[in-house]
Amino acid sequence: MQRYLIRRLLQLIPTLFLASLVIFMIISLAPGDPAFMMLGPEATPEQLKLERARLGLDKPIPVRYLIWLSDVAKLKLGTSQATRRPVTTMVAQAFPYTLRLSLSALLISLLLGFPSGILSAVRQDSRTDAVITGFNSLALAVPPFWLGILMIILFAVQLRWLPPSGAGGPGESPLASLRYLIMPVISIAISNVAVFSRFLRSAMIDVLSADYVRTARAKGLKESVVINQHALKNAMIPVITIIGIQFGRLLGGAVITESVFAYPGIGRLVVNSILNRDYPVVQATMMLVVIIFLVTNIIIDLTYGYLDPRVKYEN
Amino acid sequence: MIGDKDKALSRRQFLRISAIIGTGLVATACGAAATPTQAPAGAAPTKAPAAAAPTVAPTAKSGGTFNYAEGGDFNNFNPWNFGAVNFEMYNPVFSRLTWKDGDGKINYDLAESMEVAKDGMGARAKLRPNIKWHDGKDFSADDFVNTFNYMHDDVLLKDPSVLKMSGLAKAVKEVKATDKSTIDFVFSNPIPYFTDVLDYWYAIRIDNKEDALFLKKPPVGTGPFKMAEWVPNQYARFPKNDTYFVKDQPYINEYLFKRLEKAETLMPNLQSGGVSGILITSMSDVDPLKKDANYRVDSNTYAGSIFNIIVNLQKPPLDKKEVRQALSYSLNREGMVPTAFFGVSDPIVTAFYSPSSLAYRQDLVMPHKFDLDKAGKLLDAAGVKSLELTINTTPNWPQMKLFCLIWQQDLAKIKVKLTVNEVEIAKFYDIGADAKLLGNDLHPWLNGRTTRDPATFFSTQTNYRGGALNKYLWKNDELEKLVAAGATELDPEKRKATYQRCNEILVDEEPMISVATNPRIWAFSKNVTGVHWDLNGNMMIDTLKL
Repeated sequence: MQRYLIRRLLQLIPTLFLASLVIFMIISLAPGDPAFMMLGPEATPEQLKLERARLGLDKPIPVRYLIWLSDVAKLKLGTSQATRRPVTTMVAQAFPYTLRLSLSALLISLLLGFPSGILSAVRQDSRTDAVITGFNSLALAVPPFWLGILMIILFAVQLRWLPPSGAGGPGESPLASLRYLIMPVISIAISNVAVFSRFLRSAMIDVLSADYVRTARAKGLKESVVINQHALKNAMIPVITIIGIQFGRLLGGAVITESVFAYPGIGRLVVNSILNRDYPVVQATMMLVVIIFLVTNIIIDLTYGYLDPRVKYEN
Repeated sequence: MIGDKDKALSRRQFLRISAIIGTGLVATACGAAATPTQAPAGAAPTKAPAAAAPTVAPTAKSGGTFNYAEGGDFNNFNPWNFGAVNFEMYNPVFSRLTWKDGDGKINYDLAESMEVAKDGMGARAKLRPNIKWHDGKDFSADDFVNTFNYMHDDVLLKDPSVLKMSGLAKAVKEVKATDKSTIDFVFSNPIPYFTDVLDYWYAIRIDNKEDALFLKKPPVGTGPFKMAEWVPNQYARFPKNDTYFVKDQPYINEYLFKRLEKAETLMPNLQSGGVSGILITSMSDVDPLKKDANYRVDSNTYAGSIFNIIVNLQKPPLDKKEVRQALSYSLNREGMVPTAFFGVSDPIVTAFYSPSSLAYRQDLVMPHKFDLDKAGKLLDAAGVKSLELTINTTPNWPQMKLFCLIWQQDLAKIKVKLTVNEVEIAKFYDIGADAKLLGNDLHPWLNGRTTRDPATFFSTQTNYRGGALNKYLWKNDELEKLVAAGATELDPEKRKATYQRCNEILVDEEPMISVATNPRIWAFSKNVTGVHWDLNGNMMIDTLKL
């Protein structure tokens, strides 16, 4: 397993290199002059020239790429062109918010998605199944930004129960700032509940008709034991894949939700940086997203072996 | 091999460890919060003696916190940078010698008097007594002289904000402190618009040349509020300055500036009581707010920003004046205001729409009334039988797309085909920055400072110039001569005549086609009173009460 892990980690190197090249080229070739974006229309050609030189944009793209790559290798992510703050600081400030949002949303999604998926499978084609399936279809169809705005109108504007946006005010305790999480978490979790529930339902239906489940029932085991010990574990493999992918996506920044709720996470940082053509921040955050996805995939692959003893990691 | 029981964890152990790691991550995430930047260091401020001549009669302090929200985030805190996204922290934190209000009237701020030499070659300002920086240090004439020195410091001149200010004050040759409270200005040529220059000349203190934008450490100013904390993308906190030089001001205890991402979230924040003031970015919000008795809408028409259209003068037949005039007549500006501009803008043909501008002439504000017949005749006179034009809008200003779509319909009636494309903001700027508009014919744009002294306007809005400074290569020697003469003419009447003639030339030639004003509009909860604005269109909250 160790050799497998080492091999997977080594595979990360060319993948990251390719990703860095693609990210750099896409950003560099995108329209937009960061110097003009920063100085505005009143800037003179001389001022723009000076600013481009300060930003290093007067050098050819391949040279800029090599400089950036060598800096990244030394873990020097540079300074934001728009705010002149260290990129590391900006990412380090935004990431805990995204982590908090993602983990909370994932937890809620699992807590609701799993029971509803199991129930739906166990009572296949019943009214309960129809209600759960209907809810899932609706939840998948509703765009998170729209749901977010509706929740803001209801819970913040009309009822005034929750703050409409942000992540906390000055002097607020971490516990008090949890109020700011409620609506963004719900808006993300709703669709994830549906995804997990549907996948689990489908996997469980397959497993419940398997011979070993029939055998377990024939042995006179309690239905709860059959479901939990025999069916659920075997149905988990495809669901784990989905959980991993969804979690990776959330950690990469729930772009729309973070924007609607003015939540200061990675997603909002990426969007603002792209709009400002803030190259160092875009490059750093995109690389972070790539790393998160790659690491999440490795973790998912390793998890398979724990869930299913038949999965072997050959040397 | 994971499946090897001798070496590997059991599934139960794995799940247990996963749960512990997961809980730890949640706890870490919940505990982590952005580290705010440090408050300015310095001695505890002491109460200053009463300052002279407050602009508003002091009454009982209201106290409380004014919660205010805008979209976007700060990108720096140097007022010389003059970045729109930072406007609303300039006046609370910094002061100027004098400032102009929305009508162009001069108000004293750090200065208690100002005298301009008869020959126009200099000026003398006398400071109020007992002015202190936010960190408790005394503010003297030498500090203001330092601000001038920044503009001639090779290191600082690499900073765009210092460079910008040095451009505005380039005719100031020298600034001297005759004594602790007297500042003498020496000009290289007469500056009849000197008070306009002072309007941008905030008193700043750059303690660290590497941090001229005040991003590493909050800025130190002399204004009614001091910046204590900035949590990027969330909020900035400005407690009142207890040593502010105007007695008993400011009235409130704190100004909390929240940054929101989407225009859609500004209204809910106001309506939920989360904030009691917003800068409206979605103009469709204005009408409902006006009708709601719980809110007050304040529109600053004279902020000086206008919607206009850049014409690609390199592309025939747009090089012909008659064609540009035809386009101007084909714009149903008055009809567009209630729809495309949500009823908040004013239709204009000239950039100089404010009566306070020296270049203002009432007959030039709307001389090109919507007239398709006249537009058609002008095209015929120019020998244009049919015309196909392209224009690009951006979602950042929905007004642009709306007015272009209306215009498209009207132009079709005179056999002009206008193709309207929508592009992302960076591409939009790329087109506007290119001398040939990247091959496009027209480009909607925004110009500012139209309500300033015309000398300031022409020195900064170079797309209205008729010489080498105009990147769109429009040439007009008469305009250039008038602009040069107006910048040094001391006789107010002669200056007025000079700039009015400039206005006339621009309306006749239409190198830039004006469409409508772009006012800055705020909404406040009913309990918010005492907000006022300067000629830059920036909010002033020294007299705000809750």
